[in-house]
Amino acid sequence: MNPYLRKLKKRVYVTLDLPEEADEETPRVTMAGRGSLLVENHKGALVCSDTRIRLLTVQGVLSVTGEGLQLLEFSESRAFVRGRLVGCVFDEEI
Amino acid sequence: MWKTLGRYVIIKIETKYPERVLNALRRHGIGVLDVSFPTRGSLFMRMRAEDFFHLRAVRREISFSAHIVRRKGMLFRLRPLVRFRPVLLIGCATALLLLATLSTRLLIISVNGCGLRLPEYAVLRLLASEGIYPFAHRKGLDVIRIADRVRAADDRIAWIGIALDGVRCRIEVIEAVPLGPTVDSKTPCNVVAIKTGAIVSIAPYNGMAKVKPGQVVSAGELLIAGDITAEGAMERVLVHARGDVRAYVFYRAERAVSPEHIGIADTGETRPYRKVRIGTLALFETKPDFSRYEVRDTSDWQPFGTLLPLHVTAGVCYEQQEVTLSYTVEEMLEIAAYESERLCYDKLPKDAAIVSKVNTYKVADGVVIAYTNIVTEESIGLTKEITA
Repeated sequence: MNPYLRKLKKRVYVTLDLPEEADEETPRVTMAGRGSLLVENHKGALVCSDTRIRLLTVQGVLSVTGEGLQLLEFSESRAFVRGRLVGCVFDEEI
Repeated sequence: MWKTLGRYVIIKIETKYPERVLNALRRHGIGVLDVSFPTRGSLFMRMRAEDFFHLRAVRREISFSAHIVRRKGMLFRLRPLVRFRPVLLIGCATALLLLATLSTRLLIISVNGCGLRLPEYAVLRLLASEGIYPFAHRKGLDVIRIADRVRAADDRIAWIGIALDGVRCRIEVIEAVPLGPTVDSKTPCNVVAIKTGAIVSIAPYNGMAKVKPGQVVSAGELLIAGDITAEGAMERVLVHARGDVRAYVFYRAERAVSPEHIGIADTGETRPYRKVRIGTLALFETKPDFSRYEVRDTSDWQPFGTLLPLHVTAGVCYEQQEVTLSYTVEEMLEIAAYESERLCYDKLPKDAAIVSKVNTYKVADGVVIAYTNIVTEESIGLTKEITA
């Protein structure tokens, strides 16, 4: 999407007091303890293994590391990771 | 819980690029669950059974092999039933539909109380005209109004009762008592006695009284004469005699009771009793191995309510045998009195007023004999045409 349009869209959402992730692009990461992690509005998987899962988002590549990682759900916009999580960082910016 | 209700499969995918497979599945809108990576190059995942067939389109983009490891879900377990027995399912559905339809209709119509004067088909024809006939809808029937209309439609019906019991309609009829043969009011006739009695009162409305109160008359004797020709008259004057003649009539009955008699007593052996029926058709009934028994302590219920006219009856079978019993004198007196009174009452007409009742007893050779004498006051006049 055009960066200008993206900014305009974000401004509209903020003005109307809507949640940011409602634009279906802004990634939202929800972590519960060290056992589960929900990533919404992702754009695909780059690496999947039981120690590392890398997901592509609009704002960068999200890297989740840990042990015994499992994708409990992987659909068009949601990825639910379960396992012993060690880290969750944005590796590269797009 | 949806996991057990729906159909889903656990598959194993072998590919060089598992991430590409996941992204391809995502692009095709196929959601997967429980994705695990046991080894590099293989994936285990769970998906809906319907989505497995869509993997073919995904395989056109990227090559991989997919095998079903396990099938899960209640619908998979029911598949043999659905897949190989469609006729059974259709038959069951048809039977249930038929049952539900027929349970809203009247299937059995039973009429009790009809006799020679009032045949059953006449009652059924009247009921059919009011909306009660086989396979008629049983809801919305106002049985009280229907009974009133049927009773008014036929003089032979004194009373009719209609009861709806599920799909069964029970009709109770009481026939009207016919009036005796009447004589034309212009025809000359006498009033004669129909039975023997002592005259209590005589009130001639037309004709000449021939008896007085206190006089004993026999059956057939003239009470009120229709021939009122004056003595010495040239022409005979005959009228239609009418009047009310009441008399005391005597009824008697006797009954003998012996001390020893054969009775029925329980032996103490019991068996449980069960009976299952639909309407009047018995599907199952317990047959105990007793030569003689009586079923008591019964309870009846319908397991399916009014949907299905299935009745279950439970009770106890008590074995019985014939035994020789002895009455005491008091018991013999009581039984003899009761039986002789009953015999005497059976002889009384319905409109008779009982004036007195006397019981007497006699004991001879151990046998008790009871005598009942009842005196009634009743109308004994009968109109009879003058023939000569």
